Amino acid sequence: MNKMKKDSEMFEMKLASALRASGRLFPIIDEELDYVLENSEPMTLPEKYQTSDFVFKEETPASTKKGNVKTVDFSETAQNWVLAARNGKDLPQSILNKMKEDKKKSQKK
Amino acid sequence: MLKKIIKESLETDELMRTIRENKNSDREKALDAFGRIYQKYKDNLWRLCKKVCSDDGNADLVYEITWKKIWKSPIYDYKKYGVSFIVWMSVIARRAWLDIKVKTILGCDAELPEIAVAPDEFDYVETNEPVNINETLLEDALHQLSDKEYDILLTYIEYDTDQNKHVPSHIIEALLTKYQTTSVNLRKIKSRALQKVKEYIDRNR
Repeated sequence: MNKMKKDSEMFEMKLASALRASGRLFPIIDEELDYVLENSEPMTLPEKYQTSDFVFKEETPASTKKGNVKTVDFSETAQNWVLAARNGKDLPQSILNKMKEDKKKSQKK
Repeated sequence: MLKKIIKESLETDELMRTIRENKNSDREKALDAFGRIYQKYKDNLWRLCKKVCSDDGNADLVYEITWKKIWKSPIYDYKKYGVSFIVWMSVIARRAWLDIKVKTILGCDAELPEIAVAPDEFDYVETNEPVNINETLLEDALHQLSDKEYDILLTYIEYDTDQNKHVPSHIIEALLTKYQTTSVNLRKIKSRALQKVKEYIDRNR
């Protein structure tokens, strides 16, 4: 039983190496890679890969990427919508007090 | 060919060091070194990507991710890893391909890992026996398998190569979902597929 298991494991290792050397999987040792390159036809590299420029195309810090920046619309229309959402009323005193407290807290920080 | 690969790797060692040492201080110098490495290896990496990814159409993506990883983590050191530069690239490409495969072929929802660290996974390199394969026999043997058997066998073999010697649980989950089976059956399918290939090769050797 153990011998059968060992045989099977050995076969699996050899098969894995053959799969890599035949280019069905990526080679992980020099001999496999050597075999793949020796036994495969050269292929034309697409124009877009003739230089390494593509490597640096998206090398922008995340914070400056488009889509990460939230813009605030201060247009009159937008402010009117905000007012309408409060049914045309001013902010209640309790909210104004809360806003003052929040402002003080943030200034302390 | 092999001697040439190793000689080139030693030359590449120098260029990689230039990138590491100058990437943050003298970007032009680092870019120049990277460009020289790129020109040297672009064709061979492309050949590899096209060959391995020909069935799933991910050659472009794997190729791009590999070069981006190399620029991001130029850690190659021939003396440290003991493998040629092109093999090091192949291992990075393999990682990228597995990540993509998980998502696109197995349909796993997990997010692809960010392009980050280049692999440090050469501990598992097996005994370097000369590669001796009969292409036709291998091709015919694999043709004995159904698509399902082929997919499962290759996935197991691919992940068994890794240091931890087992297929990650999310890959198992993806295979279970894809083939609507149980984990016990999955292992049986893999063993049966392996046996089929072995028997065919033994019979026709």
